[in-house]
Amino acid sequence: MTMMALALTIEVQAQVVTIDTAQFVAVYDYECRTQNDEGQDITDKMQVVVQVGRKVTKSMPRSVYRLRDDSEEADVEADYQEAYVHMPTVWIGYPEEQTTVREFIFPHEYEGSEETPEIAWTLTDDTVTVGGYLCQQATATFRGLKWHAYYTEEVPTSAGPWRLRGLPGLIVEVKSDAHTFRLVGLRQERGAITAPEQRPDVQRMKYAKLLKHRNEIYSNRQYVKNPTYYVPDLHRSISHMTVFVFQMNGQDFIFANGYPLLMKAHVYQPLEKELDND
Amino acid sequence: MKRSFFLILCMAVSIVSLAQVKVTGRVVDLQNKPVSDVIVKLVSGTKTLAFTSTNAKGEYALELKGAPTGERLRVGERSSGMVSLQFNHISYEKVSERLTLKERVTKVDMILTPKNISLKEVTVKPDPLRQQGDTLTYNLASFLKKGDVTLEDGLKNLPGISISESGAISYMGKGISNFYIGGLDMLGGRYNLATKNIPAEYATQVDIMKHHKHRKIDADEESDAVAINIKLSNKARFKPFGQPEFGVGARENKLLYAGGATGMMFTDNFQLLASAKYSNSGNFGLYDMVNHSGGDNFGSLATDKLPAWGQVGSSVGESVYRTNGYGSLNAIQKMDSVRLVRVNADYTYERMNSSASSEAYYFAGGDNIYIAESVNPLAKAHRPMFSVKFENNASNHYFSDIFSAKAQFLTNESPILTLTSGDNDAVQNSQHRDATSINLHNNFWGTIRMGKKKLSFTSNVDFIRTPKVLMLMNDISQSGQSSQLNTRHSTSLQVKLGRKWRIDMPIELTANYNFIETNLVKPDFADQSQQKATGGQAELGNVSGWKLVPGVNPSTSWTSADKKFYSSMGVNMKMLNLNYLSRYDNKRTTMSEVFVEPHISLRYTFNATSEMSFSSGFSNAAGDIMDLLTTPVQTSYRSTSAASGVIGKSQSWSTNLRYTKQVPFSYFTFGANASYTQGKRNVLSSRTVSQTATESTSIFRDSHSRSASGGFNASKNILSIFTKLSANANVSWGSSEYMMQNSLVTSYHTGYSVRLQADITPVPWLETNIRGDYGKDFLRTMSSRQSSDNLRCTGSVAVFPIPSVEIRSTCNFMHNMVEPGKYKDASMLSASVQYKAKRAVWKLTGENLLDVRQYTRTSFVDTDRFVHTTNLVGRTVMLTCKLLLAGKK
Repeated sequence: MTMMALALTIEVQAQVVTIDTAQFVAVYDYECRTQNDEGQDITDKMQVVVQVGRKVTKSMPRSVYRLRDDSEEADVEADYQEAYVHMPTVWIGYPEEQTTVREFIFPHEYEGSEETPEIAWTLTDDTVTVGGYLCQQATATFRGLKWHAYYTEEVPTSAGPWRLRGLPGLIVEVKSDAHTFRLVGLRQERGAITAPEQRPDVQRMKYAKLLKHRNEIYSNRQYVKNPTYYVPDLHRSISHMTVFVFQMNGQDFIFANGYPLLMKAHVYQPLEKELDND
Repeated sequence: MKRSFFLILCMAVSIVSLAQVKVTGRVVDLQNKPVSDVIVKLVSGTKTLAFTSTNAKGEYALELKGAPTGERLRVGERSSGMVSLQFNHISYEKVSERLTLKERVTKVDMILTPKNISLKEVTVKPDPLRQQGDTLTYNLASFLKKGDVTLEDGLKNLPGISISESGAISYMGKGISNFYIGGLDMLGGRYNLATKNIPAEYATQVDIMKHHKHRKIDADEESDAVAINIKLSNKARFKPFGQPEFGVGARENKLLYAGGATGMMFTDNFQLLASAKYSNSGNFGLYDMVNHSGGDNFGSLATDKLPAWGQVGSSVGESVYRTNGYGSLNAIQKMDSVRLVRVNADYTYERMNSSASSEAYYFAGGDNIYIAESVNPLAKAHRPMFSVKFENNASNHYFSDIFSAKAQFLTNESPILTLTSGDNDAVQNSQHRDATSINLHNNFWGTIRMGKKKLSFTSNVDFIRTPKVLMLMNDISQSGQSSQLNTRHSTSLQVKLGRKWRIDMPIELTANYNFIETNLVKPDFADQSQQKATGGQAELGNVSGWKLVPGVNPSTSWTSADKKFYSSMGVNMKMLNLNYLSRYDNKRTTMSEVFVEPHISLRYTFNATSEMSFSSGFSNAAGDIMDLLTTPVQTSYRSTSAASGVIGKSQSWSTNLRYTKQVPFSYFTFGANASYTQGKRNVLSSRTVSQTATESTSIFRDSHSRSASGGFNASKNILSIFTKLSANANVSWGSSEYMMQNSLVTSYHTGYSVRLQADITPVPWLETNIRGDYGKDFLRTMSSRQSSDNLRCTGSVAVFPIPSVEIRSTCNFMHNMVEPGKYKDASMLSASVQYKAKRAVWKLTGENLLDVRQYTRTSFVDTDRFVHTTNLVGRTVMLTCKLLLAGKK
């Protein structure tokens, strides 16, 4: 019995590995200004949750994050909305001095890793109060996009949403032409920061390659009308996945392996265009 | 002026020196552990001159690359170069240190004191729970296309589901184990009755249950079975509905007709499905009664020894004229939450006829024997079947008993016109065969859970009786009968050690009693038997006896924690005991021997893109009672066969290696496989062919066989032109030994085949498919060398001008070798138009529109070469209509 229990414990540990403990959790509203498949302007919205630990910062779509003490009421519609933008889960500082990115590009889950890039922020003297925080402004160009950020030294961490980081205070608001992240609150939750789940079906590669392929697929003109245009045999590709159809308000929401499967998409607005030559 | 110049110079020097300043250091906590992500800022007043954060080792390096202007320093600091170095971390007290940046490199280490953080909290909305476990749920309506009519049409659209031509459903290539409607398995393996007759729009939801365990008591066990559950819409539940269908058509100046009706009723506790169809068109309801659980086998010792003459098949077009009909009644009643009773009864009728001519070149040492034949086989079969099942399926116990009775009444004619090389005139040979088989089967399965132990017992009892097979071939009469009582009982014990190790210890006992009798009466034999009525004649064969095989197959499997490596190995040990008596030569054969069969299986998943698997095993086969039936048995007007009289033993060792790779993003897939099998048998097949007869037997001498095969498949999607290209190539090699015309022949076979395919969907309303197959075979023996090749191209186009109309056309082209250097071409064309209205589906089908009536191909069987010319079914036009009748709710 002891052996069995031990084996079970080892098994559980092998699946979910805790790599750090969050000092706090920051929640951002994310907006992406784009066009739908009929060319109409549209703003996609979702939330990004950032767990800030002592060594590792993990940024993830809200659907990936779970708060144990909250109700389990599903918000399928909001989760489905996440699929229109392409927000990965990012571990900064895991492995050490590296950044690991996990994302689902139908029909596979991918993982890219690279040395954590430094963002060359230029601080300006402007100050403004955003969301009750006294903030200072900074600008940077990161991988083809120019970002304007407000950060607050009231929360002394270099963390921020997605991969944006490296300011002398928590990023409160950061925007580029198409994207805006806005801090909507902090939660002092000392939850476990878990490592990327080690599964053999995840495709691993250098981040540069992942970025290149991601942009190639989503930037293709066919993508908006047919989001799975690049899948040679949709039926076969989906065959190894858990497909779940949720009906709400007369609308079908199809999930494959827990990831929404879109029938129509919105024009892709990349968060990174290409690697900087740094 | 000089003072001003001096001041400017001092400032310049100060700025230059500041531009080269570097501050480094290490930040630790009170335990001297490095603190990462500490924001280190160099500030002057409220101005931030430079900032960075510490790395995982707590180290930082601040460099003032861009020279700050003197204005960025406060007045008081301009001359002194005093700045403030701040260390900030959310979990530690803020620390600041004043510095004078006179040195080019300044080293500042810092110790931080922890603090309690206090943040304004917000609530993050919870993530919806989307854990579906092993059940995939499809909303069928989301996947339905406009042209879909039956549940089968709808299922074909579901990701991962594929349906074969005969209606077998598989998920990810694995056949389903159970087909449920509303949680009840009414039809068993005959689920085509549902998939081909329930309207697609009546099914709302399809559940694919992976790792399915039908028995609730097995909930804690591993399973790789997949099952399907169909949930019907409310309009299909609680009230009967039906689907009459009919069709008319024409073929070869004959009227074709088809008619049928299906009625169904589904409630929570009771389900009923009744269906009847009859048609002379060939493919109307053809697959409705297929049993995917494999219960359609009517074979017995006598019918296997005296086999029926089959229909002539064709790889192109249709070669069999078929009239078929069936009536089926199925019902299931749920008595309570665990108990149910199921009854299935049906009757099928089938009439088939076809015609072909063949030229055979039998290997006969130096000169081949040439025989030309023209055959017209006809078969009529009646098959009644009845089964009843009781099941008690609870979480702590399981009992089920299935009793079934079935019979087959088969009449077979196969007149043959024969021309041999020695004769100028063709000879008409008559062949007639009647066979009746009855099969009674009972299966009991019981499992009881006692604490953490589970005790299982299964028992299969089969009684197969063939009272008489009668074959009349010209003036030869061959008859036979057989009885078989086959039982198999097993218990199982399974031990799991954590999640990595598993040990299985199944124990099985097979006990069989078999009896077969044959009687060959030839005109000359008849005279002899009359003459020797008192002394007896050896044309009668009668063998009976029992076989007892206890066995144990211990095996263990291990899976690594990351699930990448899986290994399984075991040893199947069985003890074969038999005691057979051949009555007419009063020869008793006994045997008691232990067989050991080790097997191993390995699988390694390198990553998501590639996987390799390996399996190898040793197996034995022995103890077939037919080996003792040494009396000649006539199986056609010119063929006889006789067994060796020696219990055949064969051993084989098989090894398989498989590698698959899928390159992400580029959607390139590649698979390669290789296999090798080596076998040995203690008897050697022997055949003697003459102009008038073919005699097959076995002689007591070891024979060896080897075979190897390898192949690869690759597919590539070209996104820009909506094209999928795929290629397959296979090569096989084998050698085998035979005795031909009393001399030992070792034959070597080599075959190559290539397939190229392109699927192109240039616009949503048009689908095209082009496929080409080419194959070449070589056969070599000591004295001969032969080869054949064939080419086949298929193209199809489907157009959807409006969603309710589908127009489809398929064309086949064949280029086959008939004899060395001589080829024959053939083209086939078929088309269909389907219109789907709200309550009716109309379909006009045209098969073989070019009215091609013959198809020729060359094949090799062992060392013999055959040129087959199959007569094909002529141009067929059929209009069918399927109506949907549903009562008011």
